[in-house]
Amino acid sequence: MDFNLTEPQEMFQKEVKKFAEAELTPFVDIMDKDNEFPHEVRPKLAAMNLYGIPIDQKYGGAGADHTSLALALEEIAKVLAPLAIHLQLQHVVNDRFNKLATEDQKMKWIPAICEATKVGCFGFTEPETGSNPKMIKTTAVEEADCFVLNGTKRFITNAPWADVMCVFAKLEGDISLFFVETDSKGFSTSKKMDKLGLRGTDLSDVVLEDVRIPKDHLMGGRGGKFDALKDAMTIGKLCLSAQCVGLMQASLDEAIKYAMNRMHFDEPIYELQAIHWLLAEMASRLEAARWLTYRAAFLKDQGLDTIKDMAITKLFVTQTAVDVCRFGMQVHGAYGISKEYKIERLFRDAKMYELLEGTSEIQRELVVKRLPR
Amino acid sequence: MDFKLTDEQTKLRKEFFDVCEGLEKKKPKGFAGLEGIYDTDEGWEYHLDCAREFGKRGWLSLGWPEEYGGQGTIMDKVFLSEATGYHDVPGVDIFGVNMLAPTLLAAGTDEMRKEYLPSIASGERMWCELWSEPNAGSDLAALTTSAVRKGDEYVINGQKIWSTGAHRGDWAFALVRTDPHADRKQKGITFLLMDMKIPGVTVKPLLYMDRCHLYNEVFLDDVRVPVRNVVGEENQGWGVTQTLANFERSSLGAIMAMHRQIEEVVEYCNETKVNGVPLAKNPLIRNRLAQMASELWASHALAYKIADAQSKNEMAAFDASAVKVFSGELQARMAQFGCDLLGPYGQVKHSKWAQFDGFFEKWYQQSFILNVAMGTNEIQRNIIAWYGLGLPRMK
Repeated sequence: MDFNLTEPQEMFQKEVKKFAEAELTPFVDIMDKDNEFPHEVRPKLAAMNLYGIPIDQKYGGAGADHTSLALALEEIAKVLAPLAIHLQLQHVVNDRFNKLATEDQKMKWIPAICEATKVGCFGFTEPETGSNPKMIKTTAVEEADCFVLNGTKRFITNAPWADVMCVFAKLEGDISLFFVETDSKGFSTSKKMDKLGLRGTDLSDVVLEDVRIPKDHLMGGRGGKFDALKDAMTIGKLCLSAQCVGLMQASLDEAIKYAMNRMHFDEPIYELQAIHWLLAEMASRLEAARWLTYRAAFLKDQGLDTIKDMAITKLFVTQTAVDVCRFGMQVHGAYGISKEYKIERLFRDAKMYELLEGTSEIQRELVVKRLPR
Repeated sequence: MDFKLTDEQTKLRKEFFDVCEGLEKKKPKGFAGLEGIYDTDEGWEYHLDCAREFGKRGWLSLGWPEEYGGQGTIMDKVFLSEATGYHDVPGVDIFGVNMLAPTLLAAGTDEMRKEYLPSIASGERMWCELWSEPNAGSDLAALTTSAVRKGDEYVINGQKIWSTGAHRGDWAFALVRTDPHADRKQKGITFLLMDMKIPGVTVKPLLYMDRCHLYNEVFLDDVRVPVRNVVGEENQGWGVTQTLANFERSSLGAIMAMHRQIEEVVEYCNETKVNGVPLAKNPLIRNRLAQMASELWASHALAYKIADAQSKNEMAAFDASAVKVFSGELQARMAQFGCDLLGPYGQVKHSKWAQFDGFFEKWYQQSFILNVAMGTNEIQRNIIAWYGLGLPRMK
């Protein structure tokens, strides 16, 4: 067993940390306060090749591993978590193209997404389907020269300005995967949603109304794409967990900084036992979550990842993030709720992760069904 | 021991609930909790209307001596708090009715009571609190706002923070330092009353994390307050605050608000099907709801016990701390549960997709403050350990 990062992983982590702190901090208010996506950040992310971390270099990626992806998302979430969500979604779309598209399609879309000249979004969730993929209602009907898609997708990140969308739909009763160019006739998005945390990611509904797409936009052949969905969600869970580790580290850093500077009872509150306990709990839980996440990344890199492992990771890490960020708020006392401090944003963002990619309740079900009996 | 209400109490409690149910129907859209009262002009007007209605009925002076216009008992006040909490109806000024009036009755002069109590009882004058400072929160006695006596006035300079509703309140009760050389920091503090509209008072908003305007910073620059506005004696204000701190923490209103939420969540779970099955049949949801209902009834019983003790002047200092910790943390867990129950919809606000009008998204943010306001829960646990369990006093 070896718990050390490799030299390239460590170097990459340091670079992303430096980049995030220097380049992403100015965008915090635009995303969190104004609920707007700062498009000027995209070329910066592309210049660091953050859109293509585990993607093959021949498609413009960095050819790195999933551990590097996790480390990068952790560092970015430490500064601005909604941007990490944006990166995660681009990776998930790239990964679908990489695994299921034709060579021409790969060459058309993956480099463009890596260079930030194109943006993708991912459409699975529907108004009546959040947790049970088999109940999706979006349909694809085959005609002589095209497929015709109809349905509504909900909670779609980046949808209002994406160029391409991966869409799960039922074709002859079985789940298939398509990609849809968003300038297609019949493709529309709703007003973006206002929400608790991870603000600025531009979340909306997508309505597909008689959208006609070429036949070669069917990805990986007809039907049987429940596995493709599970694969995408497995990567998603790793990405979310890595971001939660970043949020927790940021919360701990903020809590320590505050406790060292806040004078009460004639000394910094860092000297008070009640504060020791909170900080010690935060640090302990963070370390457990961090290593569970790194293990998940390691399993992914080895091709040993399972639904159970990823569900366990997502369940534990996202719940722990909510607790750790809440403790960080508690250390700040009343100042915790003030916009003057970072901690309230971390607290709001943390809760979001429990609700995305399957709630904790769903993760428990996934785990229990796979326990030995 | 008898947990049963008398027939008279049952009748009066029902009257409180009936009136509050009527007032609830006039509630502005989106109104909720303290935020609803102080954030918008519409909410504030609704608060004043409700206050005047309660004032007309004599319900803002429950438990006061008759000579000051009082009627009923402290327990009656508890029942009213249940009704307002359940229907989320404002009108009872937490500062004037719940905090200042009992303080004036305990520590004010007869002249002060006659001057200030009538407008509290009628709901005509609203109050706020000027206590916390940037460097004096849980360690409140570290406050530094100075009041220097000049003739029959004090000249006050300093900064207050976290002053709930100071942008709405007509008058404030403040803590100021009148003797900076006292041998203990608790000595040398004076409790006084001041008009918020006098020269030198500047109120600036301190937005909550959900950007609502509930809290304020208040700057006091050469503010002149008459010496006769002191409650108790000069330099003895800390003793006055110790009486007052126990008046605001029986938490019955918040507990009844949670009962209402449980009822609404149960209704939602009965009506909402996921994958063709009502949420009410989901074992995970049933388990969490049952757990919360159990804890809610435990905190309800504790709050009744405290109200009963208070009505008999037998309340221990740590009783209020216990119910504050228990019910405040329960409320935070309940808000979390609400978001979890709604899944991705639990994050949405201001939208047709926001279930319960976005209540749980809002409550998730609002409930945090319960565990840091009025002495953080760490401080409350210290009080319980020290006063309640007899453990050595520690910081």
